[in-house]
Amino acid sequence: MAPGPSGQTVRELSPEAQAAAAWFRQLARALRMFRLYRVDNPTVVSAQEAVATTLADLLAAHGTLQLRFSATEIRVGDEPVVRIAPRAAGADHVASVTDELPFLFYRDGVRRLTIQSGAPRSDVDSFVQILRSASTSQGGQDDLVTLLWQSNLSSLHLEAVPLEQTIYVSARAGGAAVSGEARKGQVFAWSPTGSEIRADLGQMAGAQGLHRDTFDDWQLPLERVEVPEAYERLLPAVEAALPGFLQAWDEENARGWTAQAPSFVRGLIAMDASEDMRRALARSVVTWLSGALERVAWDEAQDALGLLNELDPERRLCNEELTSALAGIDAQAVAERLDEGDALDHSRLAGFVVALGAPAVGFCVDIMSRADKARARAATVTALCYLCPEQPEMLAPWLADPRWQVVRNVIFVLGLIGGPAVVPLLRTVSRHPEPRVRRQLVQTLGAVPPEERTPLLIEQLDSRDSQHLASTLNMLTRDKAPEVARAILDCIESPDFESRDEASQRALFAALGDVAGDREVPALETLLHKGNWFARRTFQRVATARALRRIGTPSAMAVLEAGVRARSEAVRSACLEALALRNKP
Amino acid sequence: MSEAPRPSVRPGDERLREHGLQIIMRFLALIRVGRSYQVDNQVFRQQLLAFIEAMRPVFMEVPEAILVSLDNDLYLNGVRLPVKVTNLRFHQALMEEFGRRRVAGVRMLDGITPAELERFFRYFLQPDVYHGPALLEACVAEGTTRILPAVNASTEEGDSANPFDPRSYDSWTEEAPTAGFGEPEGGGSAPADAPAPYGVASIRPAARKSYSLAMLGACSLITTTALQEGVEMRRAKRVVQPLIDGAFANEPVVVGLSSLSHHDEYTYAHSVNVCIVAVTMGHILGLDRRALADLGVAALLHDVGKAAVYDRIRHPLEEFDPEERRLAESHPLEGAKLLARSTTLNPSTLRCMHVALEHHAGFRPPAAPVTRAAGESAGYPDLPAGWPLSRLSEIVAAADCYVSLQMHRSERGKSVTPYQALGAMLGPYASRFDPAILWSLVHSVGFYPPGQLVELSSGVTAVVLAPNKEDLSRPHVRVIMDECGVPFSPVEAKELRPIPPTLSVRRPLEAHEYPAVPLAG
Repeated sequence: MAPGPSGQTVRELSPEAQAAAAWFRQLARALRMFRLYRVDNPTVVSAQEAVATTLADLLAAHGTLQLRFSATEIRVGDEPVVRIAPRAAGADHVASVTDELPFLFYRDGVRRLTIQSGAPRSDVDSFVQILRSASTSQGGQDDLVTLLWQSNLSSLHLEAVPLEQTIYVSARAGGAAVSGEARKGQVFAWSPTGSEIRADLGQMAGAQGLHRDTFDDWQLPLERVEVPEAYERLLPAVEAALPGFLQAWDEENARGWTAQAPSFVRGLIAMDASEDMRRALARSVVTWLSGALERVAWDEAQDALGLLNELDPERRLCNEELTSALAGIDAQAVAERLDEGDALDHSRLAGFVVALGAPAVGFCVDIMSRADKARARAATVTALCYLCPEQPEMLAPWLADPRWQVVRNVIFVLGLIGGPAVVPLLRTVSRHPEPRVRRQLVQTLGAVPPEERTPLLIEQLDSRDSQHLASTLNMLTRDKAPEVARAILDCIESPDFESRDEASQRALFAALGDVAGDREVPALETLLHKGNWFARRTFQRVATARALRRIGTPSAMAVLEAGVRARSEAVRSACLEALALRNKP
Repeated sequence: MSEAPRPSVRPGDERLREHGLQIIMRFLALIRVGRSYQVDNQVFRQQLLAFIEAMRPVFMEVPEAILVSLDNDLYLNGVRLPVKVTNLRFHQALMEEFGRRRVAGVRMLDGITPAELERFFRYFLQPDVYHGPALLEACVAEGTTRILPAVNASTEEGDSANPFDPRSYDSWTEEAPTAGFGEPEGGGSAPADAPAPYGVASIRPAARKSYSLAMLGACSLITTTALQEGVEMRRAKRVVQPLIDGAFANEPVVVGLSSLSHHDEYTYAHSVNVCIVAVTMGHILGLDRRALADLGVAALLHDVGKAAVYDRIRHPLEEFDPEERRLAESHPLEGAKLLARSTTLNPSTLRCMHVALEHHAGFRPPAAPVTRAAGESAGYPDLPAGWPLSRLSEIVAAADCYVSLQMHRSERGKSVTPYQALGAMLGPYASRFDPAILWSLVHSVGFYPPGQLVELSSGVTAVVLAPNKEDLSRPHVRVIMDECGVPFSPVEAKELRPIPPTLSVRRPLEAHEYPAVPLAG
C-alpha cells in the first residue's frame, strides 16, 4: 500500500482521494498501453473510453477535482494520491505503474489542475486524449500545456509555470523589494520588463530590434484615404469574400501537412537550387524523417526518405544531421512498439533501415539491444546484415558498449556477416569479462576462415566456464592443426590444470586425443609416468592413456604397450584400460 | 543608416538551459566538498575554480547570473531550467540547500574571484548559523559584492513599479485574460451586457504579467532564431498564447503608441506588433486556437530572413540600388531557409515557412496599379506557377503592411498616424489583399485605431483607447484636451466608453497636430 507523506496509507485517504488514486493507476496503465499500440487499436480505444468513464464517474461522485503536481507527487487537495517512493541506496527499485505520472505533468510546467464537477463528457474525453498525446511521442510539436490550451476546455482550469519568468529578488524574506539606497548591493532584479524589453525589442537596440530588421519593405503610399468611406466601398466585396476565404482556409487545413511538405520543399528548390538551400532543406527533412520514425509511422517516414533522396541522394549534405537525428530518437519507445508490432512492422523496419544506409546503423543497434521480442530483434539483425557487409567496422563502437547483451548481439551480427573482415573486430572482445559474450564469440568464429579463428579460439582455452570451454574445443578440433594440439597440451601441462573442474579436464584431454599426433606423444608419455613407483591412480593418468589410445599412431600405441610393463601399478592399469578400449569392437 | 548602440543581449535561452545544469552540479559539488574540507583547503579551492569555469559561458554573454528557486523550479536569469528524470535529483538537492538557508538563491556578477567565492562559502556552508537576511548581511559585511544570496524571489514586482512597463499606459484595457484557460471564446468573463470594466482599477495584474511574459518570450524567441540556429516550436507556442488570450478577451490592438508621435519612446518590436495584429485578425476571421497559435508564431518569425541580408542594405527603401532591392526581396526566401535549418519539420513549422516565404507574395493581381518605386515588383519572391499560397500568409502580410506603414523609417513615415496607415491599407493597398482580410483588419482596430488622436464634434481632443465592436465609428476614448487645446490632468481626463450618440468623431488628427509631450491619456 502506497504510504502518504506522513505515513498515510491509501486506506487512510478520503474517499475522494482514494477514487482519484484509483483513477491515476488506471490512467497509468492505459498510458502504457497507448505507447505500445496504434491509436486505432481496439484495445487502446476501449482503454481510453474506460479511463474517461472513470474520471466522469469520479467527478459525478466527488465533485470538482483539484490536483497539484510536483516532480514526485500528485495531490488531491492536501492528500497525496500518487507518490514516487524514494529509492533506497543499493536496493533494487521496483517501479510502480504510476511512477511516470507526476513527471508527465511536472516537466511541462503544470502545477495545478482543476476539473470542474459537471464537466461535459466531451471535455473529459478530450482531456484523456490530450494526456495520451502528451505521454507518447504523438504529441510531437506541442507540450501538455499547449495541447490543453488549444483545446480550451471550459471545465478545466490549468495553472502552469511559464518557460520564462520575470523574477524579482530581494533582501527581505518573503517581502517586497525595498527601494532607494537600501537596494544597493542587497537587492537585485533580473527584470527585463518595461524599458529593458523595449530596449531588447525596439528602438534602443536600433530601430531594428534584435531580429535585425533594418530596412522597410512596404512602400509608404502618397494617397490619403478616409477610412469610413473606404470601408463602405469594401463591404460589398466582403460579403462574397468572407465565405470564400473561410472555404479556402478549410481546404488548406484539410490538406494534410505531410502531403504539402514535399511540394513545398520542391518549390523552394525550384526557386533557389543553391547548395545552401539544399542543405537547409535536407536538414529539415531529416527532422521530419526522425519524427516519423519515432512515431513508427512508416508511410510518413517513407515519404520523408523519398524527399531526402531527391535532395541529397549521396548523403553529402546531411549525413551528420541524419546520424545525429537518428541517435536522438527514443529507441526504447520504438522498440516497445516493435515488440508489440506485427510481421509487417518488422519487415518495414528492416527495409527502411537498409534504405537509410550507414547513418541508421546506430539506430538499428539501439533497437536491437532494447527489443525484448526475438522477432523484433531478428528484423534488426537482418537489417544490420544488409547494412554492414562491406564495412563491418561500422559496428565497432558497439563492441565496446557497457551493456553485454549489446556486444553479444553485435557479435552475432558479425557472425552472420562472416569472412576475414570481421576478425579484427572479434579480436577486440576475445577477453570480454562476460562469459555469454565469449560464448557468442566462439559460435561466431565458426563463420570465420580457420586460419583466422584458431588464434582467437586458443585464447579462449583459459576459460573456467566449462560450457564455454567445451564449445571452444569443439570449434578448435574441427581443424587438426598442430598449434591447437600444442595449445591444449600446454593447458594440460599447466600447473593450474588441476584447479579446473573435472568436466573441463575431460574435455581438454578428449580434444587433445582428437587433434594430437606423434609430436605430442613424448609429452603425453611423460604425463603418463608422472610420479614414482608408488604413484596412485589419477584421473590425469587415465585420461592421458586414453588420449594416447585415441591418437592411435604406432608411437602412441608403443607408449601404451610399454606402460603395461611399467613398475607402477597406476600406470599399468591406466594403459591396460586404454588398450582394452582399443580392443573393443 | 547608422548602427545604434546595442544593449546587452540576454543570452540564448537554450544555452542558459544547457549551462544551468552544469552550474547546479558545480554548486552542489561545492556544498558537498565543503562539508568535508575547510574552504581554504586545496580540494575545496579546486572546486571553486571548477565552479567559476562553469559560470564563464554565462558571463561571456551577460554580466549577471541569478540562480533562484521559485515555486519548486530553478531559474537561471529568469529562464526555467528544464527538469529531466536524470537531473531531477540535482534540482531538488539544490532547492533543498537553498531552503535550508532560507534563501531563494544566489546572484553572481562577472569578475567573481576564487577568494570572494571562498568568503561567501565560509558563511554559506554554515546554514544553522547564517541563514536568510543574516547570511546576506554577513556576506555584505565580508565585502563579497560579486556573489550574494538572494533572500526572496518573486514574480511580483515590489514597490518599485517600473515606469516604463509596456502595459502601464493602457489603463483602458478591457477585461484582461487570466493565466488559466477556459474563458468563453469571443469575450472576457464579464457578462456581455455589463458595462465594460475600464479604468486603472480594472487592470488585472495577470494581464500585465501575461503581456510582459509574452514580450519576454518573444524577445528570446527572436533572438534565438536570429543569433543561434534552433527554434524550439514548443516554446514558441507558449510564447504566443498570452497574446492570443488577449485577442479572445477582446484586448484592443495597439501598435506601439506611434500615434503620439513618440515612435522612439513607445515602439515595440515590429514582429511582436505584427503578431498581435495578425492573431486578432485571425480570431475575428474565426480561426481556432491551434491555427491561431501557428499564426502567432509564424507572425513572430515572418521577417527572420532579414537577418541574412540586413548588413548589406545601406539605403532607405526609396533609394535602394538594384543590388539592395534584390537582397531585400530575397529575405522571404532566406527566412524560409533559416526556418528550415532551425526547426523540426512539422505542421506548425511548415506554416511558419509558408508565411516567411509568402508574406510579400502577390496575393491578388492588382486591379489598379499600386504606386511603386522604380523596379519594385508587385510581389516577391517569384513563386512557381500554381503555388498554393497559405491563407495565414495573407493575414500576416496584411498585418505586416499595416504595422510597417506606422513604423516606417522614412522621413514621411514619422508623420503617419494609425488612421492614415489603415487608410493606406483600404486605399492604395486594398487591391493587394482579400477583402475579407481587410475587413478583419478594420474590425481588429476600428476606424480609428487605438492610440489615434481624434477631435470630437464637441471640439475636445481624445485619444482612442479601443474599438467599439457595435459601432466602429464610435470608439472608446479618453478626452485629453479641452476645446482650446488645454490638456487635462490625469485626474480630470474623462473617458467615454464608447463615444455617446450625441457626439461623433469630427476628424482624426494629423501627426503634426499631436502634442509635443505625452499626455494624460
